[in-house]
Amino acid sequence: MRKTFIFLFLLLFTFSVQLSYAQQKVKGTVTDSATEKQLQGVKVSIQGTEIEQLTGIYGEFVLNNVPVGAQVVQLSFEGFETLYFPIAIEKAKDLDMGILSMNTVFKTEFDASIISLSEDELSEDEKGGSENVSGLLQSSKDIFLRTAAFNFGQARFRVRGYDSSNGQVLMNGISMNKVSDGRPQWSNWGGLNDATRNQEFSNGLALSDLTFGGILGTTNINTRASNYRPGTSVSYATTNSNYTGRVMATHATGLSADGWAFTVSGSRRYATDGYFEGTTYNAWSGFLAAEKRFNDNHSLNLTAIYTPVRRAKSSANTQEVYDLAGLKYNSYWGYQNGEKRNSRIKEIEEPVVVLSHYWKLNDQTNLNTNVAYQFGHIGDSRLNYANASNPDPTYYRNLPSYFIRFADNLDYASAYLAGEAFKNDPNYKQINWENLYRTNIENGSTNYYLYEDRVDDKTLTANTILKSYLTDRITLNAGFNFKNLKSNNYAKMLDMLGGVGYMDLDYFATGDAQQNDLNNPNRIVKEGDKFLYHYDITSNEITSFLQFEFKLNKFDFYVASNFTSKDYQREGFYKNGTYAANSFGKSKKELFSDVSYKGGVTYKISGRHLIDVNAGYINQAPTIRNAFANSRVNNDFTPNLTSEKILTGDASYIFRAPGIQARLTGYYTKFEDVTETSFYFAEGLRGDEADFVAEILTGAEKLHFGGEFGIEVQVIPTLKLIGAAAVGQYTYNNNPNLYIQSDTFTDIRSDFGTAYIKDNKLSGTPQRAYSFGFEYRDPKYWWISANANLMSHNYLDISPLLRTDNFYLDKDGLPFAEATQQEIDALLKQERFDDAFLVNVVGGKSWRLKNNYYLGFFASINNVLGEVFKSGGYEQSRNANFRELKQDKELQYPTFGPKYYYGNDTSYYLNVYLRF
Amino acid sequence: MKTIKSFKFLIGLALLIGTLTSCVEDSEYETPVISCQDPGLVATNTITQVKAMYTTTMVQFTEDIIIEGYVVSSDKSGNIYKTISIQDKPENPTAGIRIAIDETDTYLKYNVGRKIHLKLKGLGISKNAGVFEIGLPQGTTLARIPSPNVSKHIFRSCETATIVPKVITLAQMSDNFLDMLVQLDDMQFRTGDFGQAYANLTDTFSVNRYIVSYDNNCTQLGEIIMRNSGFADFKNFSLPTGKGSVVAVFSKYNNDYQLFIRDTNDVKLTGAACIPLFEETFTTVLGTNPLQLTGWTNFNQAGVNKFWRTATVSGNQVAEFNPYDSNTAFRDQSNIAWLITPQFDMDKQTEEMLSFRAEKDFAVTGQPDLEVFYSSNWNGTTAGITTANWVKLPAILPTATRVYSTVSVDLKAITGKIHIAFKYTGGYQFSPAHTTRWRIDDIKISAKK
Repeated sequence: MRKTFIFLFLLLFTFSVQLSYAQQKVKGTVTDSATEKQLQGVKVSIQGTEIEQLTGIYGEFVLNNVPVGAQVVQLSFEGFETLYFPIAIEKAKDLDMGILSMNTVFKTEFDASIISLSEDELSEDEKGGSENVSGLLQSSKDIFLRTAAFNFGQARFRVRGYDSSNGQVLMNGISMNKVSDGRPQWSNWGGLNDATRNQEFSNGLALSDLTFGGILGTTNINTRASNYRPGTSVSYATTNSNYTGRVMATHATGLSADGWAFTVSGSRRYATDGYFEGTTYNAWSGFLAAEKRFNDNHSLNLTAIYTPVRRAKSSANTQEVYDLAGLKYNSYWGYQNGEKRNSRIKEIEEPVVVLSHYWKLNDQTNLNTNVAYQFGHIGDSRLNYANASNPDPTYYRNLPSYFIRFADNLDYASAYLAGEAFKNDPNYKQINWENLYRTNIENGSTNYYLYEDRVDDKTLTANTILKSYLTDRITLNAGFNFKNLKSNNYAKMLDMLGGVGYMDLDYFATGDAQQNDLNNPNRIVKEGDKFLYHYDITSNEITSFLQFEFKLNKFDFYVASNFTSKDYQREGFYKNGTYAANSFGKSKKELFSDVSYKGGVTYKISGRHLIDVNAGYINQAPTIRNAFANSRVNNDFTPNLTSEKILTGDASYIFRAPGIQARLTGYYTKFEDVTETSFYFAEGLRGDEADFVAEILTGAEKLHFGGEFGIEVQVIPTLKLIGAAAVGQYTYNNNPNLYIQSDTFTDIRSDFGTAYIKDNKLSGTPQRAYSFGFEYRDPKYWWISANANLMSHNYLDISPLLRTDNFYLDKDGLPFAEATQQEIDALLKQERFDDAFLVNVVGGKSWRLKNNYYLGFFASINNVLGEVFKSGGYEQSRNANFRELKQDKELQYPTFGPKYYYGNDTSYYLNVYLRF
Repeated sequence: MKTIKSFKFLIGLALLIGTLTSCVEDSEYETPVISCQDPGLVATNTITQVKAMYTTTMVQFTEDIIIEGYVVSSDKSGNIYKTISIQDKPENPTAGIRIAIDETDTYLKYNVGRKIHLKLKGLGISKNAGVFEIGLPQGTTLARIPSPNVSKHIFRSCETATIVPKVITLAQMSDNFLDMLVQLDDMQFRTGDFGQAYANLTDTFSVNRYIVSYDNNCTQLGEIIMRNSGFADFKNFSLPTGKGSVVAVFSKYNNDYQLFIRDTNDVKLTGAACIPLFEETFTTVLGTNPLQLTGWTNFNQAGVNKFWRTATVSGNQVAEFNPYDSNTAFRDQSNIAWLITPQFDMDKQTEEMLSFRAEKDFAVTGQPDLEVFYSSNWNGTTAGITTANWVKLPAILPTATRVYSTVSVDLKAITGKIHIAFKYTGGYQFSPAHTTRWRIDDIKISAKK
């Protein structure tokens, strides 16, 4: 903090600044170029100042106190292209700009939500995560990012390979990223596309007014009621993605004469049969924003959002299962009384309330204070079993490959029978719910049950953000943020499937270690009870950031610094039998203090050529998920816990001319001291049972570098050609340490030694993507766009456990006799998925009906050619040593082969809307 | 006005569409009605008839043969694995048979007492280590019935009966009782195994534990193996130290009868146990070759290469003397080896009985058997062995080879403080060489106090 103060002081000394105090008035009228109707509620502002106004009912505006000299008037209005008018203000002369016409933008009807939801659906709590590149980027105007958002999302593309936790998503300045894993939870405002349309996006390290941000950029969703275009909009969408229908209605009053503005929006998204078999989608969304403008200087806005959603998940499957049952196969569901029932439902009910105060201290300075409270819960249900056989229809023993896994004992007859049963018998192919009930009822026990992992978070955030134009060349941004989280975590018994009581024990342990709560041994659990584990995690976070922006004739540059102090503490409510000494009660408090810096320069070679360079040195505390070794059962923190460091830089060349816009960028980012925790249900790490395992990598290093290119050429006024390319390489840059925590490995540090993963590619995104297309806009209000895309260099997620010494060594501690380095390398070679060639077509049309009603539709077809492609997947860790893996891989269908996700085949989306 | 109008329209539209689209069923599901549908199968043959179809090699069933039986085994504890034993009647059964099935947790579906029918066409019958077994023919042998085939062959009826274990004694043991649920009364574990667990604490090997039958005078009548799996959930439980009844599935492994309990509820040993005056099972020894045990004397009167030593048989340690060696350098021309017990005071109790298990192998005609002596005047030193007065005991040793038999010798007439000795005589000086191998175990002196 001190450092930055001195810096500021020096800057003020170094730069002599001329402030001009003469001011004039600017007025005009804004209309819709298509209808010539006056537009009310358009935001008219002077760039570089805090001067702004909304047009009145006749489309009129009057801006007072506009400084003399060259200024730029900006007109922005939702649904229309933003306009910039350069003007020159002369002393003692007011300016009448006359009638300014705005053009409708069709692209705003494009719902990136369609892509974002299919990514969300693929987010599994175990491996993977909520990646939402398009949601983050849909508000960007950059050619490359828009193309990435609309075209690359279906292959799960991640910009520069970054995890979504590296992008900050704010709502009215309040960070919406979850403290537990650092990622934005898009379901918290799902189904509110109309209401969340006002987004401000800063790309990458570029500065934001509101926060230091992350290396992936910052998105702020602005829900100020007065910013919405007054009027009503209703729409109906139909699609064949994870939901099949959506109904949405929004009404905004705009700012009334007495200073009130209201916006309400609601939607329903539903599917009884989604894209993957046996998936349902059940979501309601409600939004309310109310603003009171007390005067020109004070305004108070209240936002309330409630978007409960229940969606059924679909499974990743081995290639054998896909070949038997098709690419839409889902192992999580089965028939019950003739109805489809999915065992893995994700329920998210996390309402948010945000109260924002906007205070214009003077024409140069704004202070924005926000308070937000979020509560509610997330629940993930799953089926579990005790003293019974695994109910998963794709359990390896049910599949044909099980019967031909030994070369000297091939049982083709059984393999055939199993294959036929799997293809044709719904009781074999899917979960046999009746059988689960039957087992429980006939035996008077609870061998099978449905429960959910619950996370009940209460988050309170308060911040205050200052923006001040110190001079017309220097801008100051500063912010102070406080966040408190209390996260209550437990397992909740949902349905005992005909059983009468369940004894809360770990049936795979023995003796006292069986008890999940030694303070309540052999407790009988009923439906609705908490069991298995129960703990709280509390976190307090204080952040302050300071930023300066300097605009000179040839140069623009900025510097920013951020200081965060964060603490975590766990409180266990169960005394776990395996970890009796360190599970009950409070853990120690772990405190992290991190400072980060970033800066950038834009060199304006000329009006057409720009060079932009950014660099950052960022320290960030590990997320709660990575900080605790195995938070369900003990108070331990991850060994070698330390903050992550990010060293990053990028350089861009930007070309802007009438009709052609292009950007070429090179970037380099190194992550150091990364802690990565992976939780999964492992089978066979110990005999033949299933156990919840935490796999922890510490001290890992990741390297991302590459280039991006985007170009847009307006060939003729109605036709535009677009091209974009991303070529990158994202790898593990060292061999980190691996720890495994489970009931078997009860040592606090179950040290598996070094994981030899250096130079393996990071998974979860194609590392190269290319796009080429066109956009045609007809003067008769219809448009069509088509893109051809090539996505390549997407890799399977490797299992670090397979790359430890444990893999190479036989029982006696010596390497397997037959293991040559060549063979080991061949066995562990990371799989690269086949390239995917995807064609997308998108278009729309709108009509103006009488009484100023607008009817329009928007349609898109993704993957027109129906390309079959793998979009993700992971190695199974079960074959933990060389001999087992070699034997398994020699089979046509390995018993424990990798599990894959396939991209959707041809999918459509049609949205019909009516506006008035 | 326009605002209000559009509001009304909006709300109306929303309600309409809301009702049309609200039905997504994802949480309320009706419990399925669990009823039993008896497949209505009728047995065409009895278990005994089916067993008779086997002669010497595996027989594959090609006709529509159906048998029925009541399940008596359970794999819940993990002691029994991938087999189901059935008997023809729930009470006073006449025959039992075992089914090899490649499924786990079968106890949930084929619960104890459940009447099942088996369609044998396509399956086969064979003998596995002396026990009849039904499975899936694979070449010339039987494999476990694979999971996809099970529903084609095994059918549950709607009847679950209460199985009454058949009470038998050790003397009655025969192949007729195989795979039936039997009950043996007045049994207890070997006192030498008191303190042990059902299986090994540190590994997952199967272990033979012997249960011993005593009469009212605490005279040992016989023993039988209880075989416990190292994967059973009770494997680390301590063996009960009382006397009482044991219920188990009766089985066999080659020449040895064995019992498989379903879980520890089958073991009701609550009465007072017979504690022998002395018992040695050779479970823990100080040295294995030569055998060294506290209080025992291991002395070679003749021979320098071979000694009394231990051997492990099915996880069980025994004492053995074996003069044989393929290498002529390690052969003795004459072997005279003594294994002498600690001292017993015969005046402190009455009705003493010596028993031990003995087995011989590689018998040679003309070689004298192992001999058992007692002496009351041995001074306890190795030098004094050949000069002490040893009285031969009338022990009737097994004549057949490779069969353990229990040898009992009545000691009640003997008085004073004595030692008991086991003396082996043999060697390579004879032709053919006297190289019979003798094994002894579970040396016990029971008495009445």
